[in-house]
Amino acid sequence: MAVSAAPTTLHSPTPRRPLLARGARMLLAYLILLALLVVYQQKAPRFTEREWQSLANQGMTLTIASLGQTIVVLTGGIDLSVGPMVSLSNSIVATMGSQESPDQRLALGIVVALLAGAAGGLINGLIIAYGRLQPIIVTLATGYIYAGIALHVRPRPGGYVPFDRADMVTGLVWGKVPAALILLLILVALWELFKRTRLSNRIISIGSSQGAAYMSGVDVVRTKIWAYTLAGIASAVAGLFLTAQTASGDANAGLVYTLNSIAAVVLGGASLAGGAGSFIGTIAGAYVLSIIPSVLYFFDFYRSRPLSQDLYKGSILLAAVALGALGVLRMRNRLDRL
Amino acid sequence: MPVLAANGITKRFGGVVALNGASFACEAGEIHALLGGNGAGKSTLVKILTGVQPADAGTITLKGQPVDFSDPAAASAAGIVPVFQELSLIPDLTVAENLFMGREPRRFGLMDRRAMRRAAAELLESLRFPPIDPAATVRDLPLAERQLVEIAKAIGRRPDVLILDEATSALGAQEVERVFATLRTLREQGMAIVFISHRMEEVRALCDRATIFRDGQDVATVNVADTDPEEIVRLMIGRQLEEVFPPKPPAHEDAPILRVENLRWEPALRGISLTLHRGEILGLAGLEGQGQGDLLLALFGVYAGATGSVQVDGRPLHLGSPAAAMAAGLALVPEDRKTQGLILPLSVRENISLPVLPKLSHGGVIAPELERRTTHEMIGRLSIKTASSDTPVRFLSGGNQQKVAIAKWLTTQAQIYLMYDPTRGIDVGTKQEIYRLMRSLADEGRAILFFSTDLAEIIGLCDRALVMYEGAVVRELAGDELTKEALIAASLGMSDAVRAQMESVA
Repeated sequence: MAVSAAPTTLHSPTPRRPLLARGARMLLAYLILLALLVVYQQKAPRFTEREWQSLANQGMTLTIASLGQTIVVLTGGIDLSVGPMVSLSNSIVATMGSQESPDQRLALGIVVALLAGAAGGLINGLIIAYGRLQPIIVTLATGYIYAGIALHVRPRPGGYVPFDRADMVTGLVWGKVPAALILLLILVALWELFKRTRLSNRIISIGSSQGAAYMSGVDVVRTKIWAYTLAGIASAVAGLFLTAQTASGDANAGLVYTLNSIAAVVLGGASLAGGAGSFIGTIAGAYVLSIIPSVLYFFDFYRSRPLSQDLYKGSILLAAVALGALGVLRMRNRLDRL
Repeated sequence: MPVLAANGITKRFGGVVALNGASFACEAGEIHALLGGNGAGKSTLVKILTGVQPADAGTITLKGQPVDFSDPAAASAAGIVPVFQELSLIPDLTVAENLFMGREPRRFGLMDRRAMRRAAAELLESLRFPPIDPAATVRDLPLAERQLVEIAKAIGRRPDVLILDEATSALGAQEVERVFATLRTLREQGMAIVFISHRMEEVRALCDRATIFRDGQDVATVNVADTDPEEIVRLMIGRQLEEVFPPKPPAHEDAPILRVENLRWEPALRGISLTLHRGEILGLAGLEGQGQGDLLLALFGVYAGATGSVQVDGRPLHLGSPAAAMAAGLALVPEDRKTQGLILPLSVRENISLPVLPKLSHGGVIAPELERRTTHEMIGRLSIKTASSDTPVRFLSGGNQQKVAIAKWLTTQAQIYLMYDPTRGIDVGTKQEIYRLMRSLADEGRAILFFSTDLAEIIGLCDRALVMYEGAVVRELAGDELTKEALIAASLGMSDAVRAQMESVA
C-alpha cells in the first residue's frame, strides 16, 4: 500500500523563467519611455519646464497607485480595489475641504483619507489571508463597496481644494523643477528602504514559492495582510495627488487606475505569478501608459480619430507584454506551457 | 535518554493508514537512518516530526519534554530542522537571503545585506561545501547547488535534531562525500541526525543505527555496522503476497509494439531503452521518483526536448504532443487522476466520451444515442458503480473514478496503455477488478507499461519488470527472477556483488 502526500513526477528541473531576464524587461520599459519622450520633444512646439511639469504630473497618480499594486503582485495576488480607493480618498479630501481654516480642514481630510486607505487595505488582507479566498474576487467585491462609499461621500463632482496647497505637489519648485519629480525621488527612496525590510523578503517569498516560504517559517497570513494594507495606503496617497491635480473631488475619477496599475506593473517587468518585480520598473510602466495619449496627440491620424486612443494604448501594451512572454516556449514540460 | 522520541504515531489519509502506531528514538550524537519501502510511512513520520502534518494519535518528546508542533516554524524554533527533497528555498531570493530567512542580521531595524552575505560566505566555508556565491539568486543555481544551500540553511540554524529526507538525491559522489564529512563533524558535536536515503551504500557509509519501517510500523532498530544488507532487505519485505492476481499466460514472444531507444530527458531520464510486446504487461519498478513517471509522460509527449527514438508498430513516433501520442495508439492513465486523468465536475458520460468525441459526432454535433451507447458499454464492461451515466465523476469512489479514467481510453481503441500506479489509494476489491481488466487488455493483444509502488503488483501482475534507479533502467527481471528480494536490492542500487550473495542465499 503506497501513500505519498506529494506527487513525485512532473518536476520541472528548470524553473519558470521569461526569455528576457527581469532586468531586461525593466530596461525595455525604460527604452519605450525614452522613445516616447524623444518623439514628444520632437513634435512639441516648445519643450520647457512647463511641459516637464505637465508630463510628470500626468503619470504621478498612476505611479503611486501602481506602487501598491506592485507590492500586492509580488505576493502573487492582485488588487482590483486600487481605483475605488483612489476615488474614495479623492472624495474624502475634497469634501472635507473648506474655505474656513482651509489648512486644518485639509490636514484632517488627508489623515482621514489615509486611514480609510489603510482600513480598506487591511480589510482586503484579512479576508484574503484568513478566508483563503481569491484576491481577484475579494478585491473586486470590496472595490465595489469602496466605490459605493465614495459616491455617498461625494455624490456629485465638486468640493473644495486650496489651490496654493495643491500647487505644492503639482507645481514647480524654485520655478524650475517639477514638484512631482521630487515626489518621485522620495518614493524611490522609500522603495529602497522598503526593500531592506524583512517584510519585503517575506512578500517576495510567498509570491515566489508559498509552500517553501511556509516551510521556512514565514507567517504567510500576516505577510499578506501587510501587503494589502500597504497597497490600500498607496492608493489613498494616489488619491491625494489626484485631488491636488484636479482640485476637486469625483467619486468616479479614480476608477481607471485599477486596470492601468496592473498594466503598469506588468509593463515594468513584474510577473503576475508573483515573486518578481520592482517599483523602479513600475514607474516606467506607469509613465509609458500615461504619456502615450500626449505623444499620440501630435499625430494627425490620432487627432482625426480620437476614439482610437484605447486601440493604440492596447496595442503598445500587448506588444510589450508579448515580448516578455516569449520565454514560455523554453518550458521543457509542455504542461507548464499551458 | 533520547533527544527525540516518537511513540505510537498513527496517521490516516482518508481510508488509507500511513502510520499505524509507529515509534522511533534518536540519541544525541548519532546518525540514525530511517529505512523502508514505498509507503512504509517514513516520509509521513518526518512530516509529523517537523510540524508539517498533525498526527492522529501518539506522542513526540524532545529532550524529555512532550511537544506538539502547529507548523514547521514551531518545530524549527524548538530545534527540529528538516531538509526536504522538495526544496524549501525561495527561488527569487539570493543564497544569503535564503540561508538567513527568518533570522536576518539587522541594523537600525533594516536588513543588513552586507553582513548577511558575509555570514553566508562564512557558513558555507565552515561546512567545506564547494564555493557558492552568496549573492547569486537561487533560481539560477543548478539543482545540486540548491540542495547544498538547503542543507546549509538547516545546519545554520544549529538544530538539536537535523532531519535529511532524501536530501542528497541530486548530489554527485564528491558532493555527497563533503556533506557526509560535515555531518560526521556535527555528530561529534552532539547533534542528532536522522537520515533518509534510497541509496543503501550511503546508509552503510554514514549511519550508526537504522530503524526499519514496514506498512506504517517500525519493525526493528539495528546497528548498521553489525547488520548484513540482506537482513535489512528481509526486514523491509516482511509479509507475503496477499492480493489475488489473475493467472499469467505462459511465457511467449509476440511482436513488439513499442520500441524505445536511448530516451533522454536530463536529469530525470538518462537513456532508457525498452521493448514492449503485444499481449505483455511490463512493470516499471524501483522506488518512487526514479524517473518512472517521467518516462510515461515523455512517451506521451508531455516533455519538450526529450531525445531518443520511439517506434510504435515499426513506425517512428515523434514525441511532439499528447495528441500525437494518442493518434499513434497510446493512452495514459496519469499519476493524479483528479487533475490529469479526469474532469471531476463532468459526468461519467462526458469523461468517457471526451477522447473520442470526433467519432461520436456528426458535423461537430454530438450524436447523443451513439454517445450513450458507448458510455453504457464501458460502464458495463468495467462494472463502474455510478448512479447514472450523468453523475459527475467527483461523486464516485476513488476506485470507480480510476475505472472511468481507464474507460475513456478503451473507447479510443488505444493499443499501448501507460499507467502510473493505477491502483493507488483504491480498495482491495476494486484493485482486483482493475488487475483482471489489465490482463484482459493484454490478452486482447494490447500492451501495458505500468509503474507501481506496490511490489506485490509488479510480481503478481507483470510478465516482465524493469527496475529504475536514478533515471536509468538498472535491471530487467522476468519469470522466476521476479522476486521481492531482487526488486528491492535493485531498487536500492545495491552492487552486483551484494546481489549475487543475496541470490545465493535466497
